[in-house]
Amino acid sequence: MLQLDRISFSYGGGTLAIDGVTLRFEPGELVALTGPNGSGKSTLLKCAARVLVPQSGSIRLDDQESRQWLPKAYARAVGYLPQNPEPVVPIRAIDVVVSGRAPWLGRFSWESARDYEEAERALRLCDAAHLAERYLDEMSGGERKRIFLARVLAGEPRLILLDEPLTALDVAHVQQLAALLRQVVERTTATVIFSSHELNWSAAYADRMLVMNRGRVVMDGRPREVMTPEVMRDAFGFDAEAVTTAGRTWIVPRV
Amino acid sequence: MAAVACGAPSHVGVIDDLGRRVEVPSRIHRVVTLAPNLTEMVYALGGQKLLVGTDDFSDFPPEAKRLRKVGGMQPNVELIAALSPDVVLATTNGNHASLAPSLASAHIAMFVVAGERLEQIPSGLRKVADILKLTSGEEASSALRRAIERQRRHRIHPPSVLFAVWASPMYVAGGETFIDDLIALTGAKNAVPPTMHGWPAFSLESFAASPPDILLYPGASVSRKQIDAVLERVPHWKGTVAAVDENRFTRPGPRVAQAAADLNAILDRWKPTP
Amino acid sequence: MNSASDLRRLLFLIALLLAIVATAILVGVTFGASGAGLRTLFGSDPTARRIVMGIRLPRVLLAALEGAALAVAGLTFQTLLRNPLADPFILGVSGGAASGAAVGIALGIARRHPAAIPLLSFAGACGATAAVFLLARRRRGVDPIRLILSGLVLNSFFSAIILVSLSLSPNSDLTVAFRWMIGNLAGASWNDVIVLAVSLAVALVVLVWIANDLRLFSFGEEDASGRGVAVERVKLAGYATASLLTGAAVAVSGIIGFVGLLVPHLVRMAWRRDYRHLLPLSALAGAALVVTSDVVSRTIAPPLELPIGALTAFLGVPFFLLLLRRET
Repeated sequence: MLQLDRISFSYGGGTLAIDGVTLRFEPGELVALTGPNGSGKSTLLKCAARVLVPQSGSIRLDDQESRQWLPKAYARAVGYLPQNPEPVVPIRAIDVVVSGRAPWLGRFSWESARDYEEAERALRLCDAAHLAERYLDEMSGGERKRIFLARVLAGEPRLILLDEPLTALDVAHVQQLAALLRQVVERTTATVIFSSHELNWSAAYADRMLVMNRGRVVMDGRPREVMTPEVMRDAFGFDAEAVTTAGRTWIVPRV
Repeated sequence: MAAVACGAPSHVGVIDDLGRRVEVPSRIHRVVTLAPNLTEMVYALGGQKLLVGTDDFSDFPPEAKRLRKVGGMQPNVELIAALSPDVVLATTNGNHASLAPSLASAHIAMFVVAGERLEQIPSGLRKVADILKLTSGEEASSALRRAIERQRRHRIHPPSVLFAVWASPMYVAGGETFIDDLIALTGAKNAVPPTMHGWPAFSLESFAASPPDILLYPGASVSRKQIDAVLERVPHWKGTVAAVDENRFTRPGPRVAQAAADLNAILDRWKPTP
Repeated sequence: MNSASDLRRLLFLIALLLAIVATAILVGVTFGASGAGLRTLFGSDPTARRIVMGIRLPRVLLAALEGAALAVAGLTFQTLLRNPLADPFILGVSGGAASGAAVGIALGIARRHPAAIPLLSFAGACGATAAVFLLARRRRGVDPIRLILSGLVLNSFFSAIILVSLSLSPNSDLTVAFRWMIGNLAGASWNDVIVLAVSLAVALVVLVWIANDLRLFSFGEEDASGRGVAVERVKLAGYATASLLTGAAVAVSGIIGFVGLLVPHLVRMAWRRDYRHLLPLSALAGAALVVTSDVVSRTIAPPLELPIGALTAFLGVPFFLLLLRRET
């Protein structure tokens, strides 16, 4: 459904943050986008979300050039969640989630009862229905992540792009959220691409793992193909051991 | 002159000293003045019966104190309107000009009279008389012009005079002011360099660089103590210091000839140091 | 169900504020230095009628429009910059508008073409907005403290421009500069009311047009872009409109500070919703605040009038410091 063809991007004409990336995503995939800091993960997601426009290459959604889509139509198809969206003024969870319906609204229209139903459905899916009337600044980090995920889901996108949804969470919440992403793919048949530094969790839940380094995609495969000491050393720059228990491969840093 | 036929009393268009075209009723019964020199002019023209209000500072002649007051630096538009004047007389002071649109909304005409230069004072008197339809205008104006002319002196040793309106910082009467004109009229010269116009701040350094022979200050708003405190810082200066009647010297009104006479008296007493 | 009860609450608040504004206008028209009351309007005294219709009514209406314009400008700046401390006065935009007007007065344009003053104010406001924006801009959004600092610096710069141009202009003195810098409604005329009413109407049309986009700025520009908002176009329209409002407001009354800061926050205390709710509520609350302040400023010690800018500063400064403490 989404096809990136030799796209390159640089901020202000400096070094290339994205350097000739070609990728193809199919419906119903859960894709983990990994790589060291500054390898271009966020930039790639922003390009796919049309927040940034690559200087060269083409991005096609449903075989149509992304720039030819109307902004609102594109936003209906693609739900993007930036890293750490922080409101500056207090806001209720339900208002955050229902604002995910914005691409479906006309210029002067307000959210209808159906939009609120969608929002509540998304909240339930994220196991956050009880938080609806609470204010965001009174919530824990994990609760907030679920609210923002619900917001993306409320827009009923077919492609979901999440920038580091697992960061700044404790282990229990990381697991919860990773499992939730799996559920989303299974229940909605949307494609989910999320960037993450949580290699083991990503490998445990994702169908496909991408490894980026210096703006290039250096690995693209099934988690078991990526989770090897060689990839860790070459792409991430650390010494690791692969430990296999109960049919899963885990990467453990060598101390 | 053909009067416009309509219900309201007919008006005449006049150009005031800001160059604005003002529609003034052709018959004037009620006048508000916004500055003491204008109040004095109306009295000098014998038009005091028309005065229904003045600004807070108008205190001359003493009867003027009993008129209704409409405020000081920033007159109150509503109090002016409450007196329902046919015309408001104002000066070129920017605060007065800013009231014009508001008064216009209440259909009250405001006429601005300039009084920055000495020669504007007799002609201002004439303009006020014309607006108020007072017959004494021509006579009063030429009498004032003659009275001013009588104070013209030529001095072989013209003393330099500094007129300080405020002591610290020292604000002085510079070029193109009626005080500057008065100094020239009485045969003295302004200690302020001619390039400094209006009412500039005058540093002690400038004071030391071009020391005046005579330092004048308005006796009501500046005290001798304030002047002495400034002069302590220029101990080498040995000039004359004199207080003058504040209101005669700072109001461009009909008493300006008396100010010139006062100035001549001070200058006549002065002896050049050998 | 949620949306319906929200809308009901919004309409209730709008009705309440309308009632407060109407009351404030009525009180403002009834009381004044000359003592002429509203009753005289129905009497036969032409002077009292002239005072009420010609002087008090334009002044009170101008106060209402002024409050609405500044509050909406403040709300829009806060939304675009995602900074709760933003306000046309604090950012230096009001100062830019006033120096535009002051330069116009100094060059004698004001006397020949009085209608040019609001345009010069607008140009000054736009210049100041661009300057603030460039000075405070960082890779990830706009840094709140940098924003306040650049506003402070710009304000001193614009004060200097106002003082210099008005000192150099003929027939003028520092009390006129003071009028521009502290804000004053004493010269209100029907012309001023028309200028500000037209500007406010134009601005509201634009802001209602982009309200559904602006409210999505609350989580940042990238997030808004991801929701299908044409971010750059909305920003341009928003900044230009907020500058227009500030320029027009300052052109007719000088700088009245802190209204744009105070009002959106007071509204949010009562009703924490997005831009679409806050826009009408801020406009009305701003109108109510400035009309009330104006009535107080001219009835507290008649016939003296306190400058209205001083009164709003009394209210605004403690509030600003409180917010600043919470921010840092």
